Amino acid sequence: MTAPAPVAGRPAPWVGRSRPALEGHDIVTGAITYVTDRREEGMLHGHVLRSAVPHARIDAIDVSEALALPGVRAVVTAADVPVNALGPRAVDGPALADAVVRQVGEAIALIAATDATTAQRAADLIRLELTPLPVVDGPAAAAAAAAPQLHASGNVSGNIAFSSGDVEAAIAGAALVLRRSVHTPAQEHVAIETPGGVASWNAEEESVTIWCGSQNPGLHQRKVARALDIPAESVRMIANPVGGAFGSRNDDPMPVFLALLARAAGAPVHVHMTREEVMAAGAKRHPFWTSIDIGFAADGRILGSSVRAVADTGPIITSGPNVMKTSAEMSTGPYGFDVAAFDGTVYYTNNANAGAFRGYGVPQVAFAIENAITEAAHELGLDPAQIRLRNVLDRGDRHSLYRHRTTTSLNVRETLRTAVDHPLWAQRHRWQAEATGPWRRGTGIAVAMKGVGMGSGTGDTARARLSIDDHGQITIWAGPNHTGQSIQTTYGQVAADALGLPIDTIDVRVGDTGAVPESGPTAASRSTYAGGAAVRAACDELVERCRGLGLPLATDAAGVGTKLIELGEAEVNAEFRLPDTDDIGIVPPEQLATFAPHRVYGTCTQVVRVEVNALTGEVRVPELLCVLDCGTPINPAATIGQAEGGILQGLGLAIMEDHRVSEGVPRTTSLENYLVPTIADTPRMHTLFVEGSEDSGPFGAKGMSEVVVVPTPPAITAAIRDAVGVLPQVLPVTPERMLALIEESPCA
Amino acid sequence: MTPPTPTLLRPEGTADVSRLLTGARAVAGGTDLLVQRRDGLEAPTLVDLTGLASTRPAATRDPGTGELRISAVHPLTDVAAGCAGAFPALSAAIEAFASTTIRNRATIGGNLVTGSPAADTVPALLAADAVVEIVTPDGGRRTVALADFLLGPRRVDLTAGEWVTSVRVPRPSPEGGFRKIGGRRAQAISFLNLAWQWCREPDGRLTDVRLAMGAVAPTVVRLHAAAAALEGRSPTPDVVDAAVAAVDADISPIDDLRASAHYRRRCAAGLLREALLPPSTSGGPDQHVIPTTREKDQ
Repeated sequence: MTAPAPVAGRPAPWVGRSRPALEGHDIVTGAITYVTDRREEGMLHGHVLRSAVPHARIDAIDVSEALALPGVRAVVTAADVPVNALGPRAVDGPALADAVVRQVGEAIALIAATDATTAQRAADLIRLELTPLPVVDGPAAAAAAAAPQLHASGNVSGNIAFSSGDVEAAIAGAALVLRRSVHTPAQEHVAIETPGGVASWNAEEESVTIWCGSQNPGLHQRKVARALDIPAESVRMIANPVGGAFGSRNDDPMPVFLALLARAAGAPVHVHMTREEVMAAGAKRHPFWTSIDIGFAADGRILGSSVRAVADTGPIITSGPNVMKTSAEMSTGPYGFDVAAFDGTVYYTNNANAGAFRGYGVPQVAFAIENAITEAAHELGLDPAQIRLRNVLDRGDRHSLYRHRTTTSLNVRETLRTAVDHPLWAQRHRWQAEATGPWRRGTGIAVAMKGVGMGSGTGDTARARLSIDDHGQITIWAGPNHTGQSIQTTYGQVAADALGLPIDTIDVRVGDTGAVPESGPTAASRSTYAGGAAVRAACDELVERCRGLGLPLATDAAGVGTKLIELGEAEVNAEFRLPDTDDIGIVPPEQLATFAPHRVYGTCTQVVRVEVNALTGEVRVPELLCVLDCGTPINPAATIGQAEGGILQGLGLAIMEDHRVSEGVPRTTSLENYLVPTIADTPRMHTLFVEGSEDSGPFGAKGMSEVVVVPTPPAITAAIRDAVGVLPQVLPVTPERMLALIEESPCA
Repeated sequence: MTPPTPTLLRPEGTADVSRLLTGARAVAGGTDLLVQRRDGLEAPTLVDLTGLASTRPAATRDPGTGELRISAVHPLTDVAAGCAGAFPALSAAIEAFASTTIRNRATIGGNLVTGSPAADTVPALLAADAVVEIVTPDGGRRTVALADFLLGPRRVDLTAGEWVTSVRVPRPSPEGGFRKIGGRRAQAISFLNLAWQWCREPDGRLTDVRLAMGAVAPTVVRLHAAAAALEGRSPTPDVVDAAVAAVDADISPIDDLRASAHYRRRCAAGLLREALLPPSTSGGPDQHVIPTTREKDQ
């Protein structure tokens, strides 16, 4: 670890020291006011009328009875929305369905009333005349020649293809060629707080303030401004505190709904979605059908790999093609080899909309490649860790698909070595031998890599604003926003060490477009890395300014603050532009942003123990090791928390989570039939950090919050392979799927 | 669609319940009824039976006959404690039931009356030939064998104004158990479940074999054919194979969102086979062991 050593005369460093979340006490005591807890004087309650059918033409909407119901203050339909769009393109979808509904749960009308029950009754009084249309129930149906076209541009939402050579030629003489197909399901985020909040319209100024969770307050500000046809400066998003996101607050239309209702009603309006609404209408992780052709030399070296992926993004684009872009880059895993190809297509369907979800297209393709490597190890008689060590990228190596230069902080090899030395892996044979009865034991290993930030050519930038007052108090407005991970706690640690000031003299504010400079999304594992670097830059600028003026910031912050105010120099603005790769390899320069290869990657190796019941197909996961290459963990406890949470989402994807839709109708409609891991399903988890430092990150930090999800499913399937000799290719591995595999296996 | 104003009535004592139940529904833990109500079940007036728990024990055992009388209105946590090891199959079922917080609310009465084929306490009670004790609207009592009480999915032999006060269980066998298969290890509706009890004679033969399985038929069912295959025999590999093969005869599972009929048949066989493994090699009970201290490597 590269946490700074104590320096005489300076406060003990905060970077590298675990610090509880600043709002932790308020969370556990219930004192915190989440955005959905907010109450305003004269506040109305909103309700969203949603489609119950997956695809239909809207012939008429009659809201007269709903409007006549006592207590109803506003009913908003598509006709009432100034610019009925969630984005600049038709495929971004309308704010409210106008001519057609394309998904169960799609919003058709918004109602505000004096109480929530009245708003719901009003929704029941809205008369809809719908003509059913044929349902596009998956990518195959979308691609069919006679398929109904869901958009003027067709049913293909996006395609990304790239090749660094002739894969078939490269694997023609391979000792082993595997051609495999895997499937990963739609997954629900299950953020504890469901979307909602409050909006308040100021009629005089024609402006709106919205308290609603968001991973990208600036983007939501622009979306609201577009829909209401008002200047962006007239929209203020206050986007926390919020109870979790995991990607779900990237594409969420709720801020737009709140603003539309508040303006129509002329009063503050509160909306809070039910879990059932989220299950139907909220974006999911993209379900993928992924195929891989991969060839190995006898010693386990990868000779070439070609990955093809198909994803279902539902009726509107949300993050579809961007997710596939990330899949493309990570389709070669953390491995270095000479020839690779990728071809991925995203389709529109009438299924649940899919959007951003922690891991963003990587868990899907990583499952294909890691499963193939697990199988290759068995086929070639190689140790599953050794075959990976034989292939992993080293610091600064060229990426297998784009041939661009990776960061020198890339430390996959060390995560693998650390994992291999851990008792969980070293003692796997003994543990397996101690199995009793129908419970067979196995240990699996998998490794993953994911880019940090939006990638080369995208101009990805985070910003921070800092001011000092005459008491020496520092205020920092910075982004990306807090969405549950308490990023402001981490920013405070960076600032305290950069300024050399006591941490309790530093107040960090995030998530308010009225004060925080545009910093992009809480996404792409970029918050600590990019936001932290922007905070660091602002702090360094202040320190430098003081040095230039001969002001003793560390010993007399109050005096320095007073002096800087006099000089008009008490505020600092800084930004951090994420560095592009310094060699873009074979990516055409004009298409750099299209493929957006990364310079900086976080990596992770996981070792997992599973027990499989050979009589019932149950899979238990008692223990798991996570070894992280994240540079400097600025707040180790928070980093471990991120790792453990990510592992559980990966575990859910691996063995139980499956958002099921048939004929366009969601079948998993609540948390009674959509299962996520409980504490009883939670393995004993060990998280280790490998030494490392990312030069471009704040105090050597880089991102890690998504990569931790990625190795869990393939490590679990590898462990299942070790336990019962069959390698599942379809997730989740339910007891039913597991028992079928065992019974179909020739060794059964 | 305005939900009626909910009313919760609290009886003063057992005698008061029948009067209040006119036009109302009984509720105890509410862990199923309140969920059903949220999904549209009309039950505007509820009579809360939980107060009755303070007037009697959760379970009593007749020292002469060994019969257990289990209160229908006590939380499962208290029932397990009250049985004090006398009914191993039910104790195992309660241990696997939902979660601690649900077990602190849910009751045997509610689990019976809701009539779910997947109810987790029912197989142990059915295997043990439990008798349901019902208070009639006039304050009288009637009893009905649990096997007759269960009529179908969400249907039981209970008419308006009646409520279940207790369950009587003839001396349960000292050897018994329960296993459920769900989508996860807590808070999950069973894909299927199995309760068993038998006596193991000194020569290793199993006698008085009773098996019951849930979520494989319109009600929880006894596995009579499988039990007959085991009765009076040692569980040798041949005997076990015959019993496992006989499971199919008493079940009629369906496909639903949770599992297919095919899986339920295969897993039903697997569950019985697992239950018949020698105790030392069964792999122990499904261990819901949570580390009490979270080890941090940093």
